[in-house]
Amino acid sequence: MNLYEMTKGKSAEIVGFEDNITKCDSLRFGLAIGQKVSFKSKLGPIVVCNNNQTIAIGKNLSKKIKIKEI
Amino acid sequence: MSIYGCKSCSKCSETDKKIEPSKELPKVALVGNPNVGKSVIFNALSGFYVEVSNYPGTTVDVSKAFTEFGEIIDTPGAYSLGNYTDDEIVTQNIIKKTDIIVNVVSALNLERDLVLTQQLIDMDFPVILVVNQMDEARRRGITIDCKKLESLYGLKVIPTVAIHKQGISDIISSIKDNKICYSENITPYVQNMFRAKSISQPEKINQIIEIESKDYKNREEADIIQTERRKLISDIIKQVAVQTEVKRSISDFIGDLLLNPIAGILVALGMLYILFQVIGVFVSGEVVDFLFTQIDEKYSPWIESIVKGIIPVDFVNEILVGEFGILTMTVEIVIGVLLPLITTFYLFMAILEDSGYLPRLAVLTDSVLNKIGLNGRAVIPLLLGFGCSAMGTITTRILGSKKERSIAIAILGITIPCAAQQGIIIALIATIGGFKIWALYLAIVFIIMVLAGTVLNKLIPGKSTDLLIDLPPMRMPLLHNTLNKTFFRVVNFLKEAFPVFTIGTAMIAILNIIGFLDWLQNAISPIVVNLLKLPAEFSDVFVMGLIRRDFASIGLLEMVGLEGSTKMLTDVQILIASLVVTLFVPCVAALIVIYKEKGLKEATLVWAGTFIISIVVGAIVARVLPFII
Repeated sequence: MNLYEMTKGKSAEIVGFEDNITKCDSLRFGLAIGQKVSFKSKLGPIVVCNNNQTIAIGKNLSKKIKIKEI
Repeated sequence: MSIYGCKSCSKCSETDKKIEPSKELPKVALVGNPNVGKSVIFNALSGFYVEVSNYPGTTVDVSKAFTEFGEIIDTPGAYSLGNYTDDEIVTQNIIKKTDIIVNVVSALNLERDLVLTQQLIDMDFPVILVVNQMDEARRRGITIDCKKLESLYGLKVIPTVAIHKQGISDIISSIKDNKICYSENITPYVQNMFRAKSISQPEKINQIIEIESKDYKNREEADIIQTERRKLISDIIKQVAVQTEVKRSISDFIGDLLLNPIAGILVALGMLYILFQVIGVFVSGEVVDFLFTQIDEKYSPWIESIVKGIIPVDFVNEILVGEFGILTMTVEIVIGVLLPLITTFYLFMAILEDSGYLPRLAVLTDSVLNKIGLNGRAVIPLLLGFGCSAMGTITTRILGSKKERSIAIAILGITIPCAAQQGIIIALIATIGGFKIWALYLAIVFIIMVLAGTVLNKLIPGKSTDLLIDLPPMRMPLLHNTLNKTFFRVVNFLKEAFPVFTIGTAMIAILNIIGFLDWLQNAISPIVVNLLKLPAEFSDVFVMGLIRRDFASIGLLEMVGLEGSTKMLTDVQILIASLVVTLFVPCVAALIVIYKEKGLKEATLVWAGTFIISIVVGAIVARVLPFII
């Protein structure tokens, strides 16, 4: 499943990226493989928490980030 | 002053880690991720003022200051030293010519920020590591052992709360006393890479930059390095940072609330309403009225009598103290009208910028902006454009692609009125129908923005990027920063506006004396009278608009009788005229910035496009508005 499909209120672990650009973009914000994120809101972009950081990720980009819910 | 590795640290022996002594002051670059407080530290170190806000991407230009201990350079925030964004390229170019790096990291996001630190270490830079926002981290239950961090990295680590100037003296003394270390905590793969051959530091820098670049072919190598860096950082974080559970703060609650679509839209509308009430009702109704009357009744007759007593030449008197006099009209306009309006507008913008609201607005508006080839991040330059078009245009540098920048710059040029202009327009509209009419005006401008954006999105080649933005914590704006920012913006406005208005009024006065304005009224009356359904006198406003849009708005003030003159426009005409002036050509300052940022062709297209659009839209609304209001 991808980040955009993340269920409200759940947490997830990043397991992969669809392409290298997405991976590099995400890494800049601390979103690496194995990183755990929690759902915050979804209003077009999805907003997730990563440690103490809150990050908004556009719909298309979030669809390229693979996750598994935990 | 020469700089060596610190002598107190065994890892930095003078012999193998010496950098070239410089006869000049050392160049000290403040480097770090966006929104970690580099500019606050720059201000504290230098005693100068560069703008500080609570959103990523505030610094789009490089600021420099000379101090007794070095040349301090403030860089735009960068998450990495690759070539993914303009900010990264600017930062890597600066650090190549830097003696010392003050790497600022946020105590709130240490794990993310130390990636850049690790890159700097791999490049073999002498680094002072500044852990800022320690107070906020404590409030969020994060404790960081900076002594431990210092011993693990072998770098000088300074905890700071820059907004309260805590830790700043430690940074200064570290630079002065050469307590600058080179860390040996190099990423293992990089260490092996450089160990095999003797490589100079500039070569190391170039190699790391190449590996970090988006076109680097050996992705496997880049991945190994990234993974190793993350592991190193993760191990360090485990040893130095402790997180305890704390109760959610009010700031968290407000931050979350603003991400709710209904609450977010209601807050946005509420703020527009407050802005209208403050500027349209209070400032333009009371403050402007008071100031203008004082100048009109006391200053203007006084200066008129003095000038007429000294210079008994009618022609010169007309230019200096006549209807469009430099010493009368310029002062009445700039001090009596614009100063209170723009001060209030800038204050309002400063509060928004410092609160952390703008990135949340970026999330709210992302879906809408996607339709015109932008992402939510574009709301930041567009909103800053309401302060000053030139400032908004420069801030488009935070956007991810050339296409997005071109669209945003065009939209800024076409539809976004600056603070001075918006203040006057709110004042004008307040005279004909209050908030509802202003909302109608905004709705029309918004429709034109969407239409223009849609067309540009289809015409301009290239790709748009997706939103990816840090949402900083909501913060109570600090009074001194808000006032400082407002003050400097007002001063800059006055510096720019006074000469332009002086020359502009002199030009209008001369054109009036030689009869050119009458000729122009006749010449363009088919456009003004037949097409726009406005009085022929509106052609003067056109001439004023070529100089500056806010200058044109001032012309409108005269036509609606706000300055004691006779009212020449009906309510519908006031709205038509306000829209035409809003959409009219960008001011000279904004045009120069567009030229610098995007070249002559794009600047010419924006200028010509705005001119045509303003006339076309004016002609359409002149035929539709009478049925609406």
